[in-house]
Amino acid sequence: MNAADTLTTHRLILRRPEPADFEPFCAFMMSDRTRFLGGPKSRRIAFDRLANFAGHWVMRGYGRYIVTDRATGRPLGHAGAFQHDDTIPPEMAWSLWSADDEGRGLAREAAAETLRHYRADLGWPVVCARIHRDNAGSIAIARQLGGTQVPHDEGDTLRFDIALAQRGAA
Amino acid sequence: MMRPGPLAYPEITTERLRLVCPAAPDFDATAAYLMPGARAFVDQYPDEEAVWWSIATVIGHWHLRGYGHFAVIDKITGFHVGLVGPWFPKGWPEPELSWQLLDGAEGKGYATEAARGVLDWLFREKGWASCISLVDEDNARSVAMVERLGARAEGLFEHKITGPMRVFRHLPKTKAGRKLLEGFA
Amino acid sequence: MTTIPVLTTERLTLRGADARDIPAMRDFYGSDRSIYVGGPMTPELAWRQLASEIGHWTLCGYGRWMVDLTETGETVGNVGLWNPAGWPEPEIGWDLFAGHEGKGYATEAALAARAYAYDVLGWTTAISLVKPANAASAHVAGRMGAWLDSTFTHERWGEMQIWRHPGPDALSDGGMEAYA
Repeated sequence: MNAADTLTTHRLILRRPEPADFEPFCAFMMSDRTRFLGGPKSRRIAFDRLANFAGHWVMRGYGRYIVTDRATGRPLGHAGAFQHDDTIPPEMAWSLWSADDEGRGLAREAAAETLRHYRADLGWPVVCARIHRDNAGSIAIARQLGGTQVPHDEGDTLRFDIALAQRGAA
Repeated sequence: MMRPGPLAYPEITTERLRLVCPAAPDFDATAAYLMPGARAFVDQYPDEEAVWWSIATVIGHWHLRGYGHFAVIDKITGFHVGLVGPWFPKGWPEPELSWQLLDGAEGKGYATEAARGVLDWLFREKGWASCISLVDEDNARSVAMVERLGARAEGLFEHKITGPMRVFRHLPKTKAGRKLLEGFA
Repeated sequence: MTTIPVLTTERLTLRGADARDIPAMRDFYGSDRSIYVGGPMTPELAWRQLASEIGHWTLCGYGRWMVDLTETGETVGNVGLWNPAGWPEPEIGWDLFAGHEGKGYATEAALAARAYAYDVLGWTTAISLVKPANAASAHVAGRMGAWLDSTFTHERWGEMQIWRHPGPDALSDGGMEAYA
């Protein structure tokens, strides 16, 4: 079953990527806010990445949501699951594009809503998050969402698995 | 420094088999594989030492990856029949569903049944979207088995250690899995 | 697996190996430093070596620890108790990683491992296997109060000296500190 195109929380609307998201997304990608993701990145890479977000929805039937302010419609960031690598669980992201929007729990609110949807509506068992070991803010969110660290050997990247479903014995 | 959480020791049950994690604290690997008189693996190791190292590696693989080969036990007799699971030591292209049977356990469909159980676990519990098996070109029996499992041939992988291997890809038996497969076909 | 205990000495923390140790093991087993312990070997085989180090704990109930400098967290070696199939008897072994020689780390960690073997596991004797050409390793054995006892020829590793450690009774007067 495909993921919902739109999710709504108290303060946010999460929707699929649109062309108009490019400029604010590009500003984020070219800023030092992507330092834990190997950034800052070029405009070309930013375009590739957003096209990737859009294309993943076609390939997998789910993908990164653009997180928007429910009142104004302004795009604030992105959140949701990706699966580039078939042999680990779908990988989560929760990023706010501007520092001005930090400190109000918006990234966590968006991520928590996607997890609720994956668990309750899609029946997914588990997702993961790969986070740079110095990215304390993101690690804190992973832990608040129920993530536990699992073995991983990718240098400075830590992996957290977030179990969604409590399954009974087979 | 942050440490990984404790390793979970999963168990899988199929119709005839119980699959347990050989890294679990209550699993006696010595009794199962290493005692004098323990049944040998069908793919003969050169000597007892090689079996010891192999079993130690199988256990450590769980700790390094969080998954690995399950010890497969016949539910009724309690006999060990082999090791089946996702295998991803360094040098492999991606995790490989592989199996090793113990002497006398061949020809009963144990490997296929255990592999089905493991694939189900990978797709339903671990969130994997696909998994490969690598099969020696000349191993008709293994080719037949992965085809029975519904895997699709995907070309060759030149393995540094074992030479050219045929790649077969397992996908979840769901609409999304089939759709993905068709997308790439 | 028995949870791998953490041991601490004056300068060192001995802990169980995990995925973070893959690069250090690759570097050690890829270098000439590993010629006395089966190397040099490919990164693929070093990965398996690390996995089997962890499996050793499960199979034997003891094994080797990764040795960290407590102050900086830097990993300086792999030291502990070793008894895989084909070994003559349980052994205390030490591998030091490049750049950490000459500071007494191997001796300090091996003394902690020996105390654990005697006090916790109840070993009544212990040996260390030393390749004849490995003078640095023989020196560590000597500093620990061990003496050259006999030799042992392993099918694959060839001839090795067996250094016998003083037993727990011999160490009870003054304990391991007498040799530190």
